[in-house]
Amino acid sequence: MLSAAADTPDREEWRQVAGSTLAHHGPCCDRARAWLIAMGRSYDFSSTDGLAFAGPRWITQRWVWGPVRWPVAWCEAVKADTVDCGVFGAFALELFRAKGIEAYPGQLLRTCAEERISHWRRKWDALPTAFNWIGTRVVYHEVSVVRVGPDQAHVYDPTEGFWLEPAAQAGHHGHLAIRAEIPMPLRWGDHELVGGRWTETAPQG
Amino acid sequence: MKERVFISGLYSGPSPSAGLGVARSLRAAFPSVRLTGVDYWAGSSGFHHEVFDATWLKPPWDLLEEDLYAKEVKAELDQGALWIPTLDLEVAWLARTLTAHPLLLAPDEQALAPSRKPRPSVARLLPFEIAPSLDLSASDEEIHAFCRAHSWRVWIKGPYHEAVPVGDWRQLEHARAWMKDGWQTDRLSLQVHVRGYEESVCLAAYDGRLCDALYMRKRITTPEGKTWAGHVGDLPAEILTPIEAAVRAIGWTGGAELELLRDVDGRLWWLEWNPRFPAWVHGATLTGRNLPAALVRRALGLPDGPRLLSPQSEFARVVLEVPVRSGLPLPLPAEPEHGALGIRGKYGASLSAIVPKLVPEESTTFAPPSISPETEADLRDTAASVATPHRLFLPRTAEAAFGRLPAVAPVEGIELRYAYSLKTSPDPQYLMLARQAGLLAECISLLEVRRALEAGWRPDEIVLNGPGKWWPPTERAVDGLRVVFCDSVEELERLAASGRTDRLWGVRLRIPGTQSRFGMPVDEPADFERLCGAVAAMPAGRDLGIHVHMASTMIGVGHWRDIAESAVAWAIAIEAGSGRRVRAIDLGGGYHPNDFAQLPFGDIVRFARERLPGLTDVYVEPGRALTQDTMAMVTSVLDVRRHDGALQEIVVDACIAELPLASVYPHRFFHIVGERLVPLPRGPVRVLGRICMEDDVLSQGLELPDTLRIGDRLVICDAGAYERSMSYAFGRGGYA
Repeated sequence: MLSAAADTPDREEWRQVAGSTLAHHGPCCDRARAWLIAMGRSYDFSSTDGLAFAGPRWITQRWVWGPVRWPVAWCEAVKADTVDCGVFGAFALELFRAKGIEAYPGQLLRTCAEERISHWRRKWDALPTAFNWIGTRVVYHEVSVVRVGPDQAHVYDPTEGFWLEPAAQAGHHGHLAIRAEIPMPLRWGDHELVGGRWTETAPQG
Repeated sequence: MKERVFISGLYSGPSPSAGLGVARSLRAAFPSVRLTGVDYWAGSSGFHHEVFDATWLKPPWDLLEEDLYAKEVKAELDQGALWIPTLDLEVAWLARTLTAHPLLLAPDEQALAPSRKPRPSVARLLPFEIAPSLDLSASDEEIHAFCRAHSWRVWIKGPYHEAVPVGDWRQLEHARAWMKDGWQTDRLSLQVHVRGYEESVCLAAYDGRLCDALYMRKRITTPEGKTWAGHVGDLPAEILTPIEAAVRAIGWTGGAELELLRDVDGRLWWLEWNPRFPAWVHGATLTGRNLPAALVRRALGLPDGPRLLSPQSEFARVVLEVPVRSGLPLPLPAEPEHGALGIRGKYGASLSAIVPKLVPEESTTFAPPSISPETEADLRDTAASVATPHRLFLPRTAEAAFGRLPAVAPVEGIELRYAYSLKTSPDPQYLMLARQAGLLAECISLLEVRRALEAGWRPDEIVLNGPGKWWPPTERAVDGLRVVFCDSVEELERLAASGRTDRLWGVRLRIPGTQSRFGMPVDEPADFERLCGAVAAMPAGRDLGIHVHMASTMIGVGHWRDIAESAVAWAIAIEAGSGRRVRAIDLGGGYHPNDFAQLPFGDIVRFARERLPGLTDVYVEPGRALTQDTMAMVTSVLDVRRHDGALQEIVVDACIAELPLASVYPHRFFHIVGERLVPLPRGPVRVLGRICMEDDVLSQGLELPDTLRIGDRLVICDAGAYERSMSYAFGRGGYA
């Protein structure tokens, strides 16, 4: 079995790094954030469909996933064609919070088929200032932890536009560990999330 | 095990029947069982799978001798064979035709009835939300209201299966006619779309006792929404217990699939109870839960088999080629035609043949349209005497409409201001009523501005809108208007340089995610920045207005609210981006008369007030809401056409030139019989207009009396608003 703990000693920075935040220049970035929130309301059919916790699916369709030159500011990120999971995470957080939903940065370690990783590495190597999220068999990823009840969380992946299931599947794309920047403990399925602490989620055995 | 099992439903295309999956599951559990595959179309490719020891290619349902077939099935059952049907319609036919038999592994009529659409009574026993639905026997006005209320996210559903999404009235009329033709019944329904993940419960039960049940979440679906891969799991106790109770209550035997939707808020919605195993049932078998085998074991009194889910509880489908079975060559393709090729599904060519065998021959009665006392009084006065075709103004109806303007209490001093949309109905009687009701005027051209001034409005009571508002250039561009809303950044820049002294300038926005040709796009950051720059460059001290318009008649009530709140969100963004205060929001018009009083204007004003501290005015531009049902068209019958003696079509002296929106929304029809107005529900008789245009059809079907004669009069209601203002002269030997 792959283990986050076993596979990440060479990626100690993943264990220390906080969720991505975008730089804020001033009025240009105020304008960019205001634009993002207004776009979110336009695409959020909350009255039409009667849903409280719909994710911001439109950002997944609008931006292409790929390497970003960090640090990146709001005014640059909204105009970019390509953004990485850190930017997707920052966008989603802003949009959830604008709707009055409690949402927090979340980080995942998950497995990835090795035959894919070589392609990701080539793509990210072309942009030296991009965040190095690629391990040997384990990759780092950013998500949104959404509080849906007094002690319950759901986890949204804004890069892919889906809600993660807490019961991890072994193998490609399965999550191994999660860290949430939450001010209170929350449960995600059977997992207990504690603010700032990595929780192992991989199936045991 | 030496038993024989007949399994029907062998179609194995992209929307397959379950027969092949059931057979493979039984073979996996009982290697020596003798399996006979049954179908009614030689093109069902499951015939050729090696899992079957024998096949029965029965005639299609339009050629099948039902009595003989019933005897054949019963004979096999009596000789100890089991029968597992996997076609919904065949299950219904068996339940109606055969008495219950211990080896017929399908529900009887008593079990089937509580699971039927559109509102199965068994749903009350289960812990699922039920999506709102409406029988299509309702009146057209009620159907239209249902669709508006649910923002046109609705499906038309057939009596057994099949669902078609419809997004407007034309689509609904088309789908209704197409489905009625296919199913040969009016027993159709509408169901609200639920946005959710597709999930299923698959169960097997025998004589009201659950043999096994499991849960499946679709992971991959085909373009038609059919399962292509899924995740199988145990049923949670809070679902298992009620399902056991429901199966017991209705005495179910056979396989079944409950189709569900799980929304992102965690609610589970009931979609359908299918009376047979799902086509993916063998996928569940591969994960360790063999429900067809569990059913057969129970029927034969054998001990239950293993039920352990494997750790790998996902399955996927693949496409495989198999050799064609000897003695059962493929059917030859039909000669190619101009239109679509003869694509056949689970029922081959004979779907329409089986339905009449299942649907009782009772005729559906449709609800008649209703009419207000004011309209009835208006029509009684004059409808019988005017020369036809004639559009009647209905004064009592109009006075009532203007008198019913929703009274919205001011929110922190902000009043909802109504501005009468002149373009909708510029007739003098409406302008007078609007003035009397204290409405402002909303104009889209300088000619309309002149007309508003002539009717008594002051310049500071006029809102000017639209992409060509300064037309014609020969007209005086009256200054000092209440608000001028620009349709482009270029127009705003010209206005800023014009030196005009209007009280407020504003911008119309093209809200992202909506289809509109109007207003300024804001869905690119660069467009948004350019707009903010133009607003910031307006003369010092100028505030701003924001205008949106998406007709609730077309997009529905919920979506309208989303657009209205979205306008507020954009107003906040433009304030932040330009440094200018937003002082006014204009929510446009296009409201259906019956929705107008129900729309949450007060909530929107409150929502805007809380977020825009500089807000002083909120405008609404009713036109259609006040005038659509204040005119009626009186028309005479020109021709009565029959088929086999029954009324089939009539021609009237009105046409789409007088009613250009006849097909866009439903109209209420009445027959004048002496002093009475007899409401006309939907029925089989088409009403054709008088002109030589293919689309001159005023109604796709009315229930008209067989005694109808040439010269009889009909009244077509809802002929005001755009039906009046967009009408044109055609076929009258000249121009208007």
